[in-house]
Amino acid sequence: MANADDVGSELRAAVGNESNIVLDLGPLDYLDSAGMRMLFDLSEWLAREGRQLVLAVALDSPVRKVLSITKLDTLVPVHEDVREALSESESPRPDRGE
Amino acid sequence: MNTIDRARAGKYAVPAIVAIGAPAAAMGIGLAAGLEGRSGVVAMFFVAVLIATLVGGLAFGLLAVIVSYVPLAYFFIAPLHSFAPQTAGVIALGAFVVGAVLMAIVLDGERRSRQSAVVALEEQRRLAGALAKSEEHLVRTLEETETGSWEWDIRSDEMRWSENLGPIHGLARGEQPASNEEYLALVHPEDRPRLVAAIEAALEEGTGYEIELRTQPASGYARWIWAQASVIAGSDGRPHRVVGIMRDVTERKRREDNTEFLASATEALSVALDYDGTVAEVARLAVPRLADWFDIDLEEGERLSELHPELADEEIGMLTRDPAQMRAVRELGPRSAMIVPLRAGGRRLGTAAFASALTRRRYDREDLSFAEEFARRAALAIESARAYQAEQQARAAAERANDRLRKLEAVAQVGLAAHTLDDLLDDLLPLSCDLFEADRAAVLLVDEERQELWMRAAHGLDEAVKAKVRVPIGRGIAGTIASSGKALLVDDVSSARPQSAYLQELGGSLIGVPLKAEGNVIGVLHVSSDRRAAFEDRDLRLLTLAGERVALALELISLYEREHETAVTLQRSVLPEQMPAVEHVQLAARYVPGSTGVEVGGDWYDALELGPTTLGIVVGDVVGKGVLAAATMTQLRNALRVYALEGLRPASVLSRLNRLADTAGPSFATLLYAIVDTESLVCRYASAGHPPPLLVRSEGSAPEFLEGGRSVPLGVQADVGYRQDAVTLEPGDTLILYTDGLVERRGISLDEGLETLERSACESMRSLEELLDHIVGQLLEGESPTDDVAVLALRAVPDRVATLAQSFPSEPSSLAEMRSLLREWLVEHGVPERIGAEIVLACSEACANALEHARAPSRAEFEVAAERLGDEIVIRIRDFGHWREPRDEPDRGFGFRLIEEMMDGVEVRSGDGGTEVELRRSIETPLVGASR
Repeated sequence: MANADDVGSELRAAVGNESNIVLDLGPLDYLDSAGMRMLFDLSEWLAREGRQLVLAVALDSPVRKVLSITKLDTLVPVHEDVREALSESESPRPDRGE
Repeated sequence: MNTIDRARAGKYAVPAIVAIGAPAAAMGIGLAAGLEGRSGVVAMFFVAVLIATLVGGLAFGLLAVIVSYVPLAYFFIAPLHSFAPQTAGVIALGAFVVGAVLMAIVLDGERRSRQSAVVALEEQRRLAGALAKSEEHLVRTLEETETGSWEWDIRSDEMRWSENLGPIHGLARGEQPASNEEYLALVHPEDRPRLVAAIEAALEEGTGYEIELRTQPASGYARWIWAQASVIAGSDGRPHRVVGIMRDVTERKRREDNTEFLASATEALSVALDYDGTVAEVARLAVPRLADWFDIDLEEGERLSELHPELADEEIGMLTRDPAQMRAVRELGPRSAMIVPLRAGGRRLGTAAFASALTRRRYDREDLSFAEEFARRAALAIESARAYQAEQQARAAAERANDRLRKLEAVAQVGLAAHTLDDLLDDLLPLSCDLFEADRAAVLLVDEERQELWMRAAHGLDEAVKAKVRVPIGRGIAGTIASSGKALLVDDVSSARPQSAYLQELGGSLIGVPLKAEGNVIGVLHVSSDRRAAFEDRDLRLLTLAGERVALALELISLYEREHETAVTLQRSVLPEQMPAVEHVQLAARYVPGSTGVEVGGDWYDALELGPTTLGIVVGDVVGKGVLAAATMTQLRNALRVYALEGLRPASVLSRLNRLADTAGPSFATLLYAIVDTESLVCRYASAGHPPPLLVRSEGSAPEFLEGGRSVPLGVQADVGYRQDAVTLEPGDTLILYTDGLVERRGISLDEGLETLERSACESMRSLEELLDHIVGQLLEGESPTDDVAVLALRAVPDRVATLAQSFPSEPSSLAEMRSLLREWLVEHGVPERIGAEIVLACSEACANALEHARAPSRAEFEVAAERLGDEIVIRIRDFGHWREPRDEPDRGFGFRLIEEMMDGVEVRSGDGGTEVELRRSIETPLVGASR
């Protein structure tokens, strides 16, 4: 597994100009504080541009508990699968304003 | 004609005659005087009309005018003897008629008003008569009731008093003040302002006043005057006079005051309950209300009431028998006195004497009867206070007696309940001090060899003083008691030449009794007080009783103490001071003596290293108590050690021991002996009627009681072929050996005890020591067991397979390596995957902290050690740097939050050498707040 910071910058590069980002955490079975920090940073970076991070992670994934402990699940929508997350990300969202 | 008619006729006859007669008279006089033809006569007729009008009123006046007209016109107005006058005559006659008629009218008005005035006058006179009558009555009444009338002319400031007002103001009869000012001087100075204000108000409003005043006491005893006054206004509407009455109301006032006083006195006396307080209250009430000097003599015999209005000097002597009171009363100079008996319920209590001095009061019969009434109430109060006090005293005495009895019982109880001499004396001596209200209590024991007494224990004495006390038998106080064998009461210790320095300094008094056992004095019990003569013969008898108890207890206890000490010594020498330290196996043991340590039981445990990998463990219980049991136990224990070290198998050891027990005498014992191979963890064991050991498996199967290898207890029958059994322990398994005291307790069945043992042994305990504490706590429930309890536990240490210990270089890549290693270990040790993932995450976070926060490490590495203790995983992460509090939180505090949430327990220990973080996680309990 690569360094969390590297993953973060790669993600930002990959995101480009897409409006809302759906991140599928399904295959992930280990997510630690460094990973969480990266997710928080990413969510804030998107929010600043009026965009939204949406997470997809199964209910029984060990990662789900980490999201709950760090309370990221109160900041970004968390869905059980990618399909659901995608429909969420496409629905128009009110501009957060800057 | 009736009477009324006659009166009416009479009423008109007189004026009619006057009305006709008067002009006729005028005519006669005029003719007689030769005044015929003179008009000047008119004046005479005017007079006639005037008279007629005055007498009969207007009607008769007019009649007189008419009657007068005839002679006047005929005889005195020209032309004479003719009724037809000339012009001048007409004018004169007209003037007469008009003038006379007018005069009659005016006079009639005048007369009418005069007549009504007469009527008023008559009415007034009649009223005055009635008034005079009632006044006479009033005066008589006033005279009788010492009421007088008075009048004050305001303008002339003159006073007029009825004669009787003088004496009630201290003046002679008929004497009176000349002016208001003089009157005011007769009024008591304290009441004067009140009177002046009342007068002023009455004058202002033109009303009156009613007031009660005292007279100036300078004349003697002040009298109470009731005065009522009315302001009389003059024709100008201004007050001219003040009239009123005064009455001497001293008696009424006195009766009122007396009633009030008696009521308040009764109340005051009913409040004061104690005797002295009541007597003082009586005196307080009497002076100065009744007397200037007052004395109660509660000793004096029969005496009747005496009244001495004027007390002669030679009579002063009879007032009191108390010399001090006599001086006091003489100094006062009594003027008048009364002596009354104090009686209550037909019982004579004494006498009360009253004397007046300063107030110059002169007692009269009224005062005497009042004093008698007061004395009657005072006597009642005194009597009830006396009764109350007597009752209080009786109650206190009864309570004291009761208290002594209770304490004595306590003393006796001490002797029965105590098990050691120290216990006995610790309780007895303070109780004795309490019982006899003494300052010190001590027990001295006879030292036969030295022929002296030494102080075994004391209450109220310094240890240093106590240690020095040595009294040769036959000398000093205690020595005398010991040699004579008799109780002794010393009222003054200093005169009794005591041997001990503390007693010499002490003075005071002492009582002491010998302590005898089978006729021999074995010691002395004494209590002493700082006060001289503090004790009575009664106390000595009581102490003798206490001493008997003590001696008895002492005898029993010294016997018991000797045995107990021996038994305890034996027992202590038998139990191993330390359990052997053996590789791969942990050992722990507990021994709890039976309740109150009455007697030492025969329980023991032992552990022996038989070889490099062989360990022998034993728990035994010799039936019986005391020295014999302890001695048997010692024999068995020693013998077992010998047989065990010979390498005999458990069953053989038991057989040998059985032979020993058989020859040692009529004693039997239960025993369990086991040999454990610490490498293979095979445990061979044999039981001689002993409760089955409990095997607690670390995982998988339920705990089991090892029922195999059982035979009869030792000493029951000769030549027993003892059975033997074996069990293989797994790493982490625990074997618990115990004596029946653990599972057999009063009120709890053996099955219940075994169940509790099984349950408590399964409750996850980290260390063997903790497990034993838990088991003993659960089974004994914090109480002392009735029987001795011995427990020995052996645990196969799970070290080789159950722990992980690895050190990693301090670099980020180590984290991934650590995680995979730990993950693998957790899986191996049966940790559920999900829980394992959480443990790995928490551990990784802790390791990341170690990398991040450990500054200037002495070793650039960190260690991770993991072990499974029952159902719990414990992980320790250790670094070798100085812990630095994170100033910024690059991970937003996620790391520590994750650790705390994932783990059941987190402990951080930081020191100079580094930091250790301990993480604990149960692998069974689901974590609270786990994912949704």
